[in-house]
Amino acid sequence: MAELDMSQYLDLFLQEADEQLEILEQETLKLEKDPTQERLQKIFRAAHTLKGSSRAMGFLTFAEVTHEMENLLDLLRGGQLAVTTEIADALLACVDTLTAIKAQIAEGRGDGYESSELVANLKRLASDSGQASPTAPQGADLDDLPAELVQKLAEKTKQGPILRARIRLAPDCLMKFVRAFMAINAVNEAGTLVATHPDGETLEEEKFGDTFELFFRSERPAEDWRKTFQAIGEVAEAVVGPWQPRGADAVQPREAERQAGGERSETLPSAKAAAAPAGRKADTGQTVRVDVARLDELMNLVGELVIDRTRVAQIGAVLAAKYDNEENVEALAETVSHIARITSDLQDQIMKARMLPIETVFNRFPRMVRDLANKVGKEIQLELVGGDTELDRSVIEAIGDPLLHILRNSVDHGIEPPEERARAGKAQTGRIVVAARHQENHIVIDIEDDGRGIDVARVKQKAIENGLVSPEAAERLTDKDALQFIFASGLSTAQQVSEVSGRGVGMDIVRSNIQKLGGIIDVESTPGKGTKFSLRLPLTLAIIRGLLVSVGGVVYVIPLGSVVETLLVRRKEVQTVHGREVILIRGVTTPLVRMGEALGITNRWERKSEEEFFVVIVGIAEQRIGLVVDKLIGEQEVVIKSLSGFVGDVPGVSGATILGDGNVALIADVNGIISCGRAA
Amino acid sequence: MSTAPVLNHREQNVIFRLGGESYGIDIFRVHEIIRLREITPIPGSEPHIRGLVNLRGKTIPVVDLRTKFGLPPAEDSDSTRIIVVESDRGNVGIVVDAVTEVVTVEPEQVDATPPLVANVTAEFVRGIAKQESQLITLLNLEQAIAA
Repeated sequence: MAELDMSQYLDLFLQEADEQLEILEQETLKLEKDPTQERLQKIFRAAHTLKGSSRAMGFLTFAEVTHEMENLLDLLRGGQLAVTTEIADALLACVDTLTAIKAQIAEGRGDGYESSELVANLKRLASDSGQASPTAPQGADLDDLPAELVQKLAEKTKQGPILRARIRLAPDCLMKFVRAFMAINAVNEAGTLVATHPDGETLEEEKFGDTFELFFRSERPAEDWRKTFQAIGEVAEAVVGPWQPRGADAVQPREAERQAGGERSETLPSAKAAAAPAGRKADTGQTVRVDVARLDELMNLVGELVIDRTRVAQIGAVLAAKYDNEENVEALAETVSHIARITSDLQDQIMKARMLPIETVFNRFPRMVRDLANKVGKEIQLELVGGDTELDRSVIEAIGDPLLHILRNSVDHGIEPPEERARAGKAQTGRIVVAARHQENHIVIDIEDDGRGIDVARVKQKAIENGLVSPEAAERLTDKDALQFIFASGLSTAQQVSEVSGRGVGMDIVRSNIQKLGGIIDVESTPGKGTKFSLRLPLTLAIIRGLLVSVGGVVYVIPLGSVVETLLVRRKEVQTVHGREVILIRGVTTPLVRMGEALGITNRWERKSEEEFFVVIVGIAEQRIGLVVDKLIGEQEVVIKSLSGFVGDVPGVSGATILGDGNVALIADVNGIISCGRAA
Repeated sequence: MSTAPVLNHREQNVIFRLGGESYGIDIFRVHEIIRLREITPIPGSEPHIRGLVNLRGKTIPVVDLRTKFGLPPAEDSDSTRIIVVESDRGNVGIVVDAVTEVVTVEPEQVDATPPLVANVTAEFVRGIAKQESQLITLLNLEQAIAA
């Protein structure tokens, strides 16, 4: 027997699970603060979708958890339960468990997972709804029956089972009572009406929303009745199931509804089922899923095209110089410029195709902040601004962890406990704002808190203890410079600092990760007022604009993102401080690093006694350093290629690229060069 | 160990010259042979890595076997070639004085114990093939190009 190949469906399932789990988590977090019906509906739909697809795939543990979630959500939706922190916790625990199961499935280890505790907890929460005393909203929603009616029905059930029909009329139904009357007539024809909700008078006056319920006795199966009701004009939906007194199992009729609703949505285009997918379609628009690897390959190909474009342009220029006035040479020039334009557009489009909103990273934050804040007993309001700012997925993938790290520090150490804030005359609830925006060819992300700020004196002291700076030098440091020590590796691992002054845990790793991406991280802090981290990152890692310089006969590309300016410096402008060369730029002492010597290409004894030389001023956070180079060649867009694994890590080099003339150039790792220069 | 044959079956080898001697690489490891082209040095990398070359839009590291084998450096000439071989860390080029021919090496022609004639460290050598006119050092490629 040919086995059905589930692997292609598995991919789809995993993708869908990713999406729906994300919705679940995001909406649940919002639900806690803002429990609207719409939001519950969204969560419910996500859980329901997951249940359906996991069942179809045979992942029964997954399906069981989503099923219990649904039950709980249904009670919330119906108002029998209120959204509490406990319930939100339980729902989030479901998300975690489902995510774990999903990961397990993705690894091909099936969906076997210990979830009985979670399921039991969900069941317990759901059964708590019996104790809650529901108050029926006047006229609008009929989820909760008046106590008298429940009592009456409970009495009647003793004489035999009662069916409950929930009938929803089309929203634009003009004669609601007529439709209700037709339904009641239908019941009277083949059964005995016990009660209606709302009562007959309210129905007659049409003082109800679009849903009413009939309670009746009948031998006919519920499904028959559903069809009967559905056949009545302007009935959007009918759900029929047995009714039992609340407390024993109030969930049942709604359970029946859901079962019916869920299954029917696949066969009958009922109004409800039609509405949901339509809404979703509008969200996604006309899209195609593309494998990321394919986009990467496309990007590579365009990268090579960009190289060739430059090459062809150069050959064209050479020919133009050689064969002036030649007709074909002119035509070539035109064609070349056209190709150049098309290539640029193509490159832009593919870059755009690889762009993702930074939301995909931001979405991880609310959960982390909520959980951590609860754990450490703080009240924190997290604001995310500019979630739609787009950047290349390579960058997206790489910045998540550094951002989380900074945010965790803000929650853990930056924001004070409520009492301390109250004492300081601040609002009890701390505020953290994460804001992203585009700035030229970069994305800037600020993480700002209104916490206690960083204790600079403490940082200085730690820096001295760790031998990073002498006490005298520390004395002279400005607060701004002293703050830079939080990025030093010695400080970051010292737990005491993180307890006393706030930040520090792993900030060196954060900075080195940001720098690896060609980014810059900066920090500002005002004691008592708060701390702000600013990240500046390139939009993409694949193509950069760079300044081409020549050093000892080797061409290096310095990423333009780190270049502040270029200068022609006269020999006599150079001064020496502690044996290090410095120059003054607009009054600021700027250390010089001889790039050739730092990289071991040349040595100081070979220094030519040139009268003037080129200096590229590069910026690392607030720091400015002048790189002495032999020649400035020009500015160019280059495609970054990683150094072969065969070559391994080379200090001062972050990659390679191919220039327009076909030669290979090295991409300078500015930080690496500077540390080499310091060590020299 | 020494009794086990170096080759279990007949093998085609690309023969190249380096410092006056002949070396062989299994032809299945050879990706292509290109003329010497501009090699961009990578300051700070391992001494035996001569730099990077552009192979149709891809950058490929080039290893200098002379440095590796402790041979005196030589001027590049018209016959200098780069043999691009496949390694487990991607394609790698090796600079050789000249590529001479492709020969079929029979298992019985190969001696496992390198005689003293070879001036190459034993770990880089699979064996010595005795042909009528010459001795060919069969290279252990992974070892020869490794750091």
